[in-house]
Amino acid sequence: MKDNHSKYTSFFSSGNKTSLSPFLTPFSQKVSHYMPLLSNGICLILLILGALFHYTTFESLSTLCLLGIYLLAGTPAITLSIKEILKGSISVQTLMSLSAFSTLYIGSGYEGALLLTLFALSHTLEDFIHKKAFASLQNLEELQPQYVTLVKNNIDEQTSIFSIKKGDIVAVKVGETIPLDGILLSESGCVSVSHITGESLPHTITKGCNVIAGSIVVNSQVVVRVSSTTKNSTLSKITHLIHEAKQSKPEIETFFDRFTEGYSIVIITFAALLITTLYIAGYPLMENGGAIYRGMSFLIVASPCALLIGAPTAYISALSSCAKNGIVIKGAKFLDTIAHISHIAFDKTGTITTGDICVSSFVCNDGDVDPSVYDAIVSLESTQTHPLAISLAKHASSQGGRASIIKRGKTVLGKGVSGLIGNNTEPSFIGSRKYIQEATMRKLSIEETSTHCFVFHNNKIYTVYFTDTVRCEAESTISQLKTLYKLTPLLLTGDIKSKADDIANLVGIHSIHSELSPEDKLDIISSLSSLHTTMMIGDGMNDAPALAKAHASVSIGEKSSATATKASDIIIIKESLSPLLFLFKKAYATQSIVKQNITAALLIIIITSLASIFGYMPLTLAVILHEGSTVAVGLNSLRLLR
Amino acid sequence: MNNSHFNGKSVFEHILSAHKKTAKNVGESHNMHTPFFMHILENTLFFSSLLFISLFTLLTAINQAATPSLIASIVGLFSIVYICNEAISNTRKLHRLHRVVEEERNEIVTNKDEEIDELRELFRAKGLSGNVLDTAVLAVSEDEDLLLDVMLKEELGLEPGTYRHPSITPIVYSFVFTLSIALLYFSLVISPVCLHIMSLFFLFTSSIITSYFEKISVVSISVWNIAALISISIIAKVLSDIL
Repeated sequence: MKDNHSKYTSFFSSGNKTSLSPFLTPFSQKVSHYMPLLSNGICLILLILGALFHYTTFESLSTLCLLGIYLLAGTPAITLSIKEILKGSISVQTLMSLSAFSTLYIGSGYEGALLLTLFALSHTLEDFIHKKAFASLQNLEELQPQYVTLVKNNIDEQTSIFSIKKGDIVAVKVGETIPLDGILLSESGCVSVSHITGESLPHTITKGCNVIAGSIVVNSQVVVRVSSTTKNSTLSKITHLIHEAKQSKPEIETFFDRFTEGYSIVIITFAALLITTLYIAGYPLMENGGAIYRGMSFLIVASPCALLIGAPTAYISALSSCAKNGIVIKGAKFLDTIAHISHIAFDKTGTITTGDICVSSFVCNDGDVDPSVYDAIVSLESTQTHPLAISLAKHASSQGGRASIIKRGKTVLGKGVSGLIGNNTEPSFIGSRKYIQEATMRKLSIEETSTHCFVFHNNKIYTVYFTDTVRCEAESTISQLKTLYKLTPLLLTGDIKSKADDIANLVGIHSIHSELSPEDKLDIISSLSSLHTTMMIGDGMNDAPALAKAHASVSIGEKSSATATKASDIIIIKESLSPLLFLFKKAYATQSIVKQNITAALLIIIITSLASIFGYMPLTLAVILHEGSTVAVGLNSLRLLR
Repeated sequence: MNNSHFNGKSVFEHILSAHKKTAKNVGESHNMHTPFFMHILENTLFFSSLLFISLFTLLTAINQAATPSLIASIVGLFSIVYICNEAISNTRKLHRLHRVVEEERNEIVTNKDEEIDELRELFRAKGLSGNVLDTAVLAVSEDEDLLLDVMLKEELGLEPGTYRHPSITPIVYSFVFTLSIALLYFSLVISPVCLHIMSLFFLFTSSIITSYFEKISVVSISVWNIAALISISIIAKVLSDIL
């Protein structure tokens, strides 16, 4: 039931492909999958036998072999061509069928059979190349399991993933995939996200940590409280974006799609004109090397198969390779844009920095630090959920603080917490300046900012300074972006100037724009974009307008806001800046491979076409060169998968 | 729970294999228990020997040169027609099934409520009622793919995942026909007696296969097969007289 159930969607979305028919047995589906290869193999054998019989005394057996090839490879080709002509379009398929069947007319049936076999074979190879290019995208889609283990009243039951609702608890065994985003309920666990982010080492997660759909459980069974449904899980968002990317074609690919039809008509007309001109000029019509022979040879070599396959396979391979490394690109056209980027603007918090706040300094305003303050902090803050409280508790704990019993504990929302710690008779307070001033009736001279808080314990006041940690890879990534790709980095932040300068100096950015509102960021990106090809990298909701305005935009990490993710063109799933280097490398490589493919394809078409017109191109060689160049171009594109 | 009954499988796997077995029995055009390859072997041996003998009788009787090549060519042509017919009918059958599944999907998309009512009735007829019925209907109808799968099985009586690719049968037939024609050809090259012995051997082999898998007495099938062989030879002789 499990297998049959998921078959329908694949079957219908494939356009009712027989190889995906839900009615066939798995063996039959495999047979169907390999049928083109089998048919090509038979054609190849018949072609060799045909050649052998031709050069011996069994000429009639050679004819039978060629008949077999025309039936196996020619019939489907001619059926497709007629269907296309009836639809009013002419493609490469039509050109090839026309050439192959026209060769029969001039008694070169063997060359026609060779063309049919090699054309079918190169199509199978093209399919293989496409499948290989799409394989990692496909793997990502296949990550979502269809059935999950639902834990209800301490009883495990297998159920369809579609019936899982937010808040349900699911158990995931070792080796299984976490089906939906959620929160870990087990004490700890170990998950691998290498297939989503490209990060090779598994993560250790503890109770309360977020887990993303598609993560594979590595060491022990985990229990997860589901926080998304199949429609809005991280995995389904990624696969949806990948589907969008597949649909979006870069300019060059769209151009070739439009160009083919007109080109095919021109080629057929030119071949007809060539035959007529050569015939009028006195060349024999039917003979080897005559008018029709040259016309057919021209028709074969001038077909734009290699031109057509050159760009799409390169882009798909690059997209696939990026997806495998945790970079989701919303369309192949952005690879082109990236290769032309000259300015790259970074947001600060969450982009250059990790966004994880930590205590930078802990100062006692009244002499030495009383070690018992750490116990007070751990006791009061360990139950709080505010990011500052969490990082303060973590800091105190690292200083040896231990939780004690709290009496008369009190939380004033948005201001602070208080309580009697252990046997103390005086209460301790943690909170804002105003809160501490009101509680202690003492005036604090330090100006309050969002990165300060105060602790009052045993008659002493402490000032706590918080800081955001710079990503460890930020400096090296930005330095490499500057040297390898000649990019000019900028820092755009809403933070105060001194902090922005500090961070920018640390990572090597010299163009700094601080104390910016989202509108200011948008203005800067707008004016920059009008002069240079600009990339914006951000993660917050406040970055969304600038992200949308830039030529290419990137959002980083799973913590990125939904608005930023939606506004950006590229999403880096891994919490790191280093995939940017991979992204630029891939974009430049894609440009290079596309150029190589198109140049090679055009050169072969021009040289072989001229040779055909002047009678220097035997049909057999024309077929081999034409199909060989198509396969070579496809294989060249596959280099981008690395 | 009787473990031997399930033969080491889970209950679900057991039901699935029972479904497949039933589908095979009702889905095959010949409605038999003989495994696929054995059935093709049995069929081919029977028809090729019958054809070879009848053609030999006919051509000899009308004073034609009953050369092994001529007879083999005619039987070969017959087998090509037979194989093409198999391929075409199997392909049409699969396309029919694809049309059925597409129609059913359209039904689900356009008239989902009615389809859910049908599902409810189907489950009710199976003995479900009350909360269990509601839960089962809800679980199936929430997922359109699952609903389609269940409707194909329960409403239309189809068993997805049990049909053979349309090209498999013709491919296997081609191999077996080629082999059997070659054997009959070489036996006739040796002598007409050899051809008769080979034909009888083919018929007995075919009878044994049928008898083994269909659990029918080998004697009765052999007698029927030989009767067919003799009848076709007599008909060939009569035809030659008329001609």
